[in-house]
Amino acid sequence: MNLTAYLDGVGLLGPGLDDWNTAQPILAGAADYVPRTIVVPPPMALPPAERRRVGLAVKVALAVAQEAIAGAQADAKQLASVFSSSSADGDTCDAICRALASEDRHLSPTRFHNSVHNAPAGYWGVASGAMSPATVLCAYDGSFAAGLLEALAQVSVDATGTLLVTYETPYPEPLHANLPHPSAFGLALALLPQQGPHSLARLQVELVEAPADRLANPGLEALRRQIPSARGLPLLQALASGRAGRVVLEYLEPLSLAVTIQPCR
Amino acid sequence: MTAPPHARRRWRPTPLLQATFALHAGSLGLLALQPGLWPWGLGTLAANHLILAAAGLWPRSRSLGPNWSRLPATAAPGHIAITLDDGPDPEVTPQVLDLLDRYAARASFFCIGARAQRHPELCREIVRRGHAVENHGQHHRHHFATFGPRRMGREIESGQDSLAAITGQRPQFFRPTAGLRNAFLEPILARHGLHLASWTRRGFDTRNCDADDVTRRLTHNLAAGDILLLHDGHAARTAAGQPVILAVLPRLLEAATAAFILLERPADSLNAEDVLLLGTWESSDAHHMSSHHPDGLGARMAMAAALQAAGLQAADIDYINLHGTATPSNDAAEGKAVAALFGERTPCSSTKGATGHCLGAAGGLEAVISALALRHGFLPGGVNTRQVDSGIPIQYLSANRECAPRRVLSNSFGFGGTNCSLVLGRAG
Repeated sequence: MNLTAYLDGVGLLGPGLDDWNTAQPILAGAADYVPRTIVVPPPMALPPAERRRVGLAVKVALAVAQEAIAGAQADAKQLASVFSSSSADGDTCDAICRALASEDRHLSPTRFHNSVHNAPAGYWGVASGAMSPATVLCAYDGSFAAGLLEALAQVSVDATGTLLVTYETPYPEPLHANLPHPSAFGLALALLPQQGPHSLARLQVELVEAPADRLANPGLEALRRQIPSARGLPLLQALASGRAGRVVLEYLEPLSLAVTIQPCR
Repeated sequence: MTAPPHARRRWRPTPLLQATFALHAGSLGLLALQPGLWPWGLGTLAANHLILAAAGLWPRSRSLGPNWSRLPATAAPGHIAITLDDGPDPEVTPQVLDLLDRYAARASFFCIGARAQRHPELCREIVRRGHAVENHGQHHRHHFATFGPRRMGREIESGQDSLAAITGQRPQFFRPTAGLRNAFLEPILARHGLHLASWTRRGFDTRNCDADDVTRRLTHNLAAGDILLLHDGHAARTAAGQPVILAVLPRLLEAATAAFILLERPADSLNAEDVLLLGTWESSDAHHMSSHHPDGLGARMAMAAALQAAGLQAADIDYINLHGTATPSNDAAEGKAVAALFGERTPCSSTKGATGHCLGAAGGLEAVISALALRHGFLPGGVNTRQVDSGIPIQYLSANRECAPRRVLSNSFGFGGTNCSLVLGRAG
């Protein structure tokens, strides 16, 4: 089956990458990449009580999801969603491990429900009002490609628009020493079955056995190598260049995901 | 754990015992022909008896006779057996029974005859709740393995008699004190139609006070067919004074939860009892992270869209396996959604009363239960539901019902307001 979709909106948030608009010249090589601590906006679309309860993972996921929807000028209620993350909420994972290892093993209910892998998907439903299907994935370092593959499968098979949201947060110590994600990071794509006025490019994916593309800029390449959701950066770099092309993204050994990009403008 | 029906078994000496007989005959022959070689004959026999003793002191060995150290492949595939020794204990055993009820698990209680005589009502309660009472000897003597055949026979026979007199059922299995025995045991067991039961794993919970460690020993590499040994009598106490088994059992029963489902494309020709996945849908409540939409709007959307995906109407569904966690507000929301779509005409139940809430495994497990209902022609009742909420207008099944459902719907919901419905059906 031909797995194809039209990319209408991009959301991006990482260290030194504040959003998709300002990141495009950096990715295209027209501006310098200056790594800075990530600045994550508060999730204003959530009711105040929920807003106070969410951690970094949900904030990053919602920020890029909203940016991609805004860029596509799409109705979030009409789009299915795919959330993919290797580590998900490192802080909550750590807090629960600490509580369970302590004398008082009491866990707060909020911590408990924030610990599920579909927490950002649930908050996205609350924030956007979307009651459409949400799929939640985890595939370690292949999490970006797994999410993209699933999203394109949904667009192609169900002919429904799908929002892909991939995100990571760093773990606190001692987990950090074993899996050092240097920063939080989020990357979202709004994918639609038909070409529309806001379509940026047509994407087609296939599984291949080939090494993943690297980025020439050492700072960006370090992000790509260290953060699973940043494994999608070669795709964004190709989009930023505005040229037709093909990139190979890291998936699960020995497979990679090849993405053919045909700009619409 | 159940064995073939009660009948005297024919005793067949194992190869080790046959060799032992041959060795004795040979040594006698040697003594008759060459009396001067007696030290050799004696030495050989001594070595032989050392080997026999070692085999008897190795609880899981089979060299003295048949021994259940795992469930046979033919008995209850996919099961593990929980066996409890040294009871009944008036403090611990009732709590163990409640825990087993909560997880709808069945166990084998290897009771000490004399203890059972002191607490006959407790012994009968074990049987009444669906468990087996088995023979752990009349007196649980620690030097059982040094008994001769007569005394060993009396110990087992009086255990059989006292347990049968109390429960009305003759035990099918015998387990010696600490699993230690000698070569005389197997002919006695064969005479009584009993089977020797040892274990696959044990946590030493009569002296190990660390519930974590006991759980780890019992669950590490746990596999289907394993026989686990725990103790409701002589139970060690944790630092907090709790019998170790009561801390271990819930974790053990939860550790034994997993579901794995393989989906395949339908074959060109199907058997009537093959189960097909006809339709699925997943919706989000977009309401709250941990409480469902009060009218079950998301749940209703998921069920309606799964029916549509399957090309079916509500009336085509013969049974609904509910998410049904017994949380009042969640059940009320799901009940409203089911009532809105199906009214009271579709029988439904939650099987979490039988399995517990298996969290991440619950959806898969209940899809499997739904598939079994289709294949075997029954509707599973909601085990342990004693009082049905009269405010929820659905047809709730409190007991199993024999019938042949053709299509069933399975609901599973989750935190974040995630709702999933599956429609399964028989191929014929």
